Amino acid sequence: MAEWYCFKCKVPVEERDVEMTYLEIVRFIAGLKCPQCGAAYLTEETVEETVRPGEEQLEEKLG
Amino acid sequence: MLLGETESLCPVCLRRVAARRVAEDDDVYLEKDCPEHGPHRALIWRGARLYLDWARHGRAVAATHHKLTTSVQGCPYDCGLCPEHKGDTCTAVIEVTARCNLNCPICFASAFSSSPHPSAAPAPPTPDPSLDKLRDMLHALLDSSGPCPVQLSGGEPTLRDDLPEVVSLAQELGFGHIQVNTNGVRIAGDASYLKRLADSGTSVIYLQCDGVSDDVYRHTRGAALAEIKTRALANCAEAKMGVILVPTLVPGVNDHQIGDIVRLAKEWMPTVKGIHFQPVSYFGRFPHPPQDHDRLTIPDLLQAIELETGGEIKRENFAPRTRQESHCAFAGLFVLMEDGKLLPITHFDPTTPPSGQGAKESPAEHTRRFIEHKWRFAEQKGSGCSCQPGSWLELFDRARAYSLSISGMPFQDAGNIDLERLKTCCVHVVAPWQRLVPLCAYYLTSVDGRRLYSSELRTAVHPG
Repeated sequence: MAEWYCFKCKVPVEERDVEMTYLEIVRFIAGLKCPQCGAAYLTEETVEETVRPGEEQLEEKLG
Repeated sequence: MLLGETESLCPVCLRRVAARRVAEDDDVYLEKDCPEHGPHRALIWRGARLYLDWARHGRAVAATHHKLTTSVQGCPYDCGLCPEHKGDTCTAVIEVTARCNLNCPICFASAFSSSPHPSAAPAPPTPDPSLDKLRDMLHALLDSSGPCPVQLSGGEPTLRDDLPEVVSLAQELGFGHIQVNTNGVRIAGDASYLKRLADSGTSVIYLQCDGVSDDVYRHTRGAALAEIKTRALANCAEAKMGVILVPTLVPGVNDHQIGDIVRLAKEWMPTVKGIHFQPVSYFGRFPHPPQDHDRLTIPDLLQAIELETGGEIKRENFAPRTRQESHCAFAGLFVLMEDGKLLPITHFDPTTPPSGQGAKESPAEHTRRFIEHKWRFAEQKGSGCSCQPGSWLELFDRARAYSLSISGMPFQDAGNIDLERLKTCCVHVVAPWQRLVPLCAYYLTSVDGRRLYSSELRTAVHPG
């Protein structure tokens, strides 16, 4: 995977689990975290292949 | 304190009368006066503040269904749907038989037993509608409302050997979601019949399930049925047929088994996809005129669910179902996790103003999508997900098959019917005379058991 940098601090981010809140539920997901400011990022791959289908499924079921 | 004005019916003569929604000692009542039969009042909600908060979550939209009747005598005497009706169809109920194999003390369909019973009504059952007749009724539904979810009901629909053909007929006409509303007696003992129903395209079994013990069933259904429900569930699991458990809740009879019903649902997931609570309403056959303590309002039910599940499910895990009249129904979504606990997905703060999310859909479209996508069997993908506990991956994976909807809808009867609410109703019965009638109006009876809508007269009985 290409190396990613924090948008704000311009330092390399670390691959690690990050907390994500959705529908008032807090759980963790594989992401990227800035060691300096703590900002968390998700890769496009994670968003497209995991988060979006998951969201769609839950929201469809929420009705 | 006056909360609002509406119209209702006199429970004695069923004439339309002015009515008021009134808060007193934090309970909300519907009060009305009949010039002939005097005043009447019925409990409709507990918690005036909550009533007003929920009221803000209703959503008015223009109706899109095609009107089949004109307004002559006004609501509720012109059902068809008439031009006064605001609610599009979210589920259409079709009675495919008047016969039944039980003789329930509580029954809004008032069917006659197919076998002699000492207390059964003496009149013979009306003949089952033919497939041609049902085709005409389905066409009327298509003309009015398009291909909405259909519930085949009765009587007891599984007494028809050709019910799979009825399901196929509805499918051929374009109806994509077809529920069978059953007491479970036949499918508990006849797995091959259930397989025929599944093969014909039945989407889900809407299984009457009032509790987990025979004393409850003897009271509500006049027979010991607990074991039958379990066998019906086992056969549905074998046939990979989704099930919605449908408890009719009677205060003091089975409201103490709400937690047991939730546990039963968890035990039979992923076969069980949802629980739809129906607090008892007083039409058809019932033992005595209802008092306030005989009624279970939505706040009563939400409190009971929280108490009876030991707080595993909380009141705030339920939201008003998207309706024009938000006091009609509620729903919540949960995912059963591997530790055996239900994880609530729905969180609702009634004091927060409505977000306007989902406004691109009408309430009926919204509910149709809810029913069509969720009330059917789904197996877990079998991804072999070695997802870590606490991760989003774990939750998304479980939600594929192990999601449970819990919802509820108290029907209105002659005591508590609010005609403004009735006009927004989205659950419609397709009458044999090929008109659509809101469910509460179709089954509504006066205190002496006289029906508002008469099959013989093919119209409402107008007291004037």
